[in-house]
Amino acid sequence: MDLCEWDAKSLLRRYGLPVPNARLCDLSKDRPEELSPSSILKAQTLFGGRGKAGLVRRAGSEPLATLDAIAAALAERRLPQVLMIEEATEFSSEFYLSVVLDDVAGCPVIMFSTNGGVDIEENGDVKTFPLPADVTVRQQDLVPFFIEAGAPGKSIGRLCRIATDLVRLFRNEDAVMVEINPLAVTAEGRLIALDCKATLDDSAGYRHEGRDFPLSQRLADARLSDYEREARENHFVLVQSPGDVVLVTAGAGLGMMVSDLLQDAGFKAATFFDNAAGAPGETAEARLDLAWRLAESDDIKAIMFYQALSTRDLAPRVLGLLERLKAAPPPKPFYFGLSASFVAEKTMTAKAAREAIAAAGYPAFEFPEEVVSQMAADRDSGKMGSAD
Amino acid sequence: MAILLKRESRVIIQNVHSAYARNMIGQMQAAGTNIVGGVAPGHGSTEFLGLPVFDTVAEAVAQTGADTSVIYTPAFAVADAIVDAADNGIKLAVAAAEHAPVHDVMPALAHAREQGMWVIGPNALGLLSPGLGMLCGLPPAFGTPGRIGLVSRSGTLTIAMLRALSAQGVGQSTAISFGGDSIIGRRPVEYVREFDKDPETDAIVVVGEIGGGKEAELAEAMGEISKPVFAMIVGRSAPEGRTLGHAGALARNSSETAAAKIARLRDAGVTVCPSPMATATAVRERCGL
Repeated sequence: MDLCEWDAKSLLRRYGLPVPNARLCDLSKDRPEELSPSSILKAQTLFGGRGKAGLVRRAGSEPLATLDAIAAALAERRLPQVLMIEEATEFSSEFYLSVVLDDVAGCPVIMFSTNGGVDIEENGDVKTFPLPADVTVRQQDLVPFFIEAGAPGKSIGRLCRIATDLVRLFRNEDAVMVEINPLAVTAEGRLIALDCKATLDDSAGYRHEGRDFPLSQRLADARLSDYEREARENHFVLVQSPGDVVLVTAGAGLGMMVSDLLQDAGFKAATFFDNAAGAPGETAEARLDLAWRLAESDDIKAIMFYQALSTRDLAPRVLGLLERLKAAPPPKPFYFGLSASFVAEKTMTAKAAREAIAAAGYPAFEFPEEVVSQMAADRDSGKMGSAD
Repeated sequence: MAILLKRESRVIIQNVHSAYARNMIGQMQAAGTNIVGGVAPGHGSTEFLGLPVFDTVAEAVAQTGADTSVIYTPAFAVADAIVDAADNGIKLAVAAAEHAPVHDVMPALAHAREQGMWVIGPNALGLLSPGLGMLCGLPPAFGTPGRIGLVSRSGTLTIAMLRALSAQGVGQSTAISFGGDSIIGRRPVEYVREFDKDPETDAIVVVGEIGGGKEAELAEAMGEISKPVFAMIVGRSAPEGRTLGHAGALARNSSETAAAKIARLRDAGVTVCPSPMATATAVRERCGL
């Protein structure tokens, strides 16, 4: 789960990390009467780059006009009208501090730069400190790291304390990423987290019963399309993107690969289907139903179905699909691909399944490359109709 | 000879009563795997599918001389099961569970490495050495005995690549699906090194994805690899910023995109192909098969 700034900072506060005073303002419920010109107005989103997008601004001489400008920018992007109103902090420089997983080292790392702020990726000169796999560290172990990284002497002690608290948060909250950027340095050498984001491990959610981030949840929901929300309610995952083929696959790797093959052939997959974590067994029917409706769109040229079954019985899936093809013909040309292991061929072979689909009048193949090349041939010979 | 699993390996099944284990035990045996027992706490001295069942890994190892384990323990307990195996002399383990909390798995995998245990997974479909044996969940019928090593994050893509290779008559020494999680037991480069040392492997196929630094690490290590390496990297068409299924399949920065990985691997001398069929063709032509 991705946390927005407000929720990530609430975690920082809980671990004793310094953050500016702030309040949350939901413009759909209340509009502030007055605002201090020095306060910082920050739209709450789950994506970065808010400053460049005009979604974070100093209130300035006309605070309510600034507020309205951010509200308008949010409305234009159809995002929830929720802002954080934060007290301004005077600072002399900006650090970057994060704890993230390093998939090569197999452990988390502390990342630090004295060059924090925007464009950290380009000009950050980020230094890393590998943590042990049980994610524990003592302040004294970090002293040489921060000195080496060029942090000024008077900030070293505070940095070590903040970093160990951040590591504790990362471990105890089952985080996979927590990032403070910038970590502002005041003229007196105090440190204060001006922005923060975090990602928590959904797989560990069961042991954080009662921990609730309603705003981040709301922002995540707002990001979903109606169809994506419907998929979630039916216990599977749908990711939509602009495209011209409704692609129905199962398995993350296979879905990405077939989507690549479509792109290579000049198509663009409009959907990515996957199983949801801890989902109950059968969602095939609901997926097909959704696929048929998505294919009604004028942008869609075809539906491609491809599955590789290793253990699940293929017969009920194929029979269900045949029934649907008969009862409700697909709104766009339908292409079928299936491979299966003999375990999945309990009562029907993959070959028989392909023959049955072909007999119903739809192209059916064994390999995804064959399906895609048939689609390209049909498009190029005008058989697919034009969506343009 | 293949890699990791040997003909003489003695295999136990942790959480032997699970539905997954019940589905796969017969298939593993039919593929040639020598399964010598199962573990299910509280069910010691019983039998299951003809296998002796033990209360603990320690007892199973003591009684059977097992050196390999297939761990079907569910996500919330898989880390402890890995540690249990590592502490009791198991040298090779496959962990099947998907959605294991990363803060559990990370120290367990580090411990396993210290103990010298090789972990495939978690979230892995396992290992198939056609004609020799299978561990976990790869369909043996998709493989063909031969001399190509295959290693992939994704289970479905291991299957897709196996099918394409087999369809073109390109047999495999060993195929491994190690899972799409960010933190895993052993990384692609470690498998590639094993294949490079294996006298029965002539070339290596790597299937990768967007997200993380594992493919970049492989590219950097290519100087020490003597055999030809082929790769397919999926997620070239993935929408920016959305996680596609696998926990590890999210490009967090420009170096983790498919395009960046493909460029690095190409520069390092890897033959990068766009599809399983194209990969199989490239391998066939290069190896004169």
